[in-house]
Amino acid sequence: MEITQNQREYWQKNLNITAILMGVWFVVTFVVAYFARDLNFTFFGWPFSFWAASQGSLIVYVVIIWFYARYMNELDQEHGLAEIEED
Amino acid sequence: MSGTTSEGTGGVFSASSNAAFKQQLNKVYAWYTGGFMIFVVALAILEQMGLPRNWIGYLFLAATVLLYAGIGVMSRTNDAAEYYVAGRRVPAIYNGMATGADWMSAASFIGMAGTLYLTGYGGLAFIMGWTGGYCLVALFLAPYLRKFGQFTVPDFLGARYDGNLPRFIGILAAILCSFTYVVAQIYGVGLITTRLTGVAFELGIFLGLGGILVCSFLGGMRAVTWTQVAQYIILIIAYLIPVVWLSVKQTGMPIPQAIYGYQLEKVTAKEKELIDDPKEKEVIAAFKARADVFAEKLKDVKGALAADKEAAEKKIAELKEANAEPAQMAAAEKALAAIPKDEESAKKAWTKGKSDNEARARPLGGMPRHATQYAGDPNGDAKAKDTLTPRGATSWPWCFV
Repeated sequence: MEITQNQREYWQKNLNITAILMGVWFVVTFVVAYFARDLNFTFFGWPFSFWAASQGSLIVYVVIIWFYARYMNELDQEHGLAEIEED
Repeated sequence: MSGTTSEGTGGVFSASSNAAFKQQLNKVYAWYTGGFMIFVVALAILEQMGLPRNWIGYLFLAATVLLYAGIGVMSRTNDAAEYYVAGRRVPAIYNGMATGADWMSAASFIGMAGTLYLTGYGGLAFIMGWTGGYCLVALFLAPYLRKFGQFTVPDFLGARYDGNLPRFIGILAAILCSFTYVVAQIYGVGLITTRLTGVAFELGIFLGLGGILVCSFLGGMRAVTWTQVAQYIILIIAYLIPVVWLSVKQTGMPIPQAIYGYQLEKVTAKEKELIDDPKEKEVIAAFKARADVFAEKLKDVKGALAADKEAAEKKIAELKEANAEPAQMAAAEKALAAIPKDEESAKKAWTKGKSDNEARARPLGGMPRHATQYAGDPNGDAKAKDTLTPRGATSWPWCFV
């Protein structure tokens, strides 16, 4: 099967967005956890890193998944690769 | 559940039939939620009228098992796409509910609050792991699984990398992960069944497993998804009511998420108060002294053992001479009998006594301070440097997948 220019572009964009989102994911999980001690400033009553672990990172995770789903839906349509709905 | 069985042909469905399907689902689950509320209220009324506690347990268990079995029977199917992936047409919001119910499964429902209470910041790794794991699934696995039209991860790996070795690795990984997970879940099922009905733990496990088997065997993923949605509704109510209630009682704010940080501040202040409390320090000193006694004895086990025996025998002799009361005599003889027989067992008993007392001599009974990130002081002794690297934090995201 020949890979078209369209498909190549689509795949490149897919890889880019995955890399960006996984970068964000890595920062909120591992980087924040690694420097937890130093990020101890008060944040609405919480030590910041405690807040990040118990609420902040979870919010970011949900946003990551939501954004990825939305972006990929649009990308699918743009490149004509969306699932075809039969009647 | 009639809505879920009416159009079981598999494949992709038209937008209009999907919309109708979703509307039907909304109706079914609205009725279900109402039914659940009525069931709870009815049980509350029956309890007020004097229904014994264990009967409430039986009723709850029977109702849930029947409910799940019912869903399983109603969504039974022999269409492969329906069986493995619920026909690939679960509306996003319902799929989210089913996934959420998985998050809040037995292990987290029973264990999470206690784990966080005991371990503080360290326990949050579980929360981040479970939730962060979904990101890995959503970005790396789920879309490709669907696009490849495969049912399971090993199938996908086999198709993508073309061979049986990748498939086999996938199978191994899947078994390893789910085995660890399922053991905790099954244990939880057993605990809950035992607690609710008073049957033996082993029987409880089989009762729970029976319900799961009936449900998932007949209907596969379709039944599992719809039971999970049903569970989600119960779980979210069961989670929110006590927490909101507590939050209102303690702070007057009905949104626990918003008040969490300020409560944490209070906990930290209380911990400090407890650590600095002179009475608490006295208790710690007392345990420390006991540990020291054991440590002293352990230095010369043979001598200490002989001295203990001599002291106990001397006491008995004294009591005999003084014509003491029988109760006193019995206590002294008991003390003599409690002295370890030989050096080996003396060493064992005293080491245990030493470590037990040392454990209790720590501030806060050895619990880490809740908001402290990692144990130890990074600028302090060498031992603390071991705990400086967040080892735990590097292993968890793999628990989920």
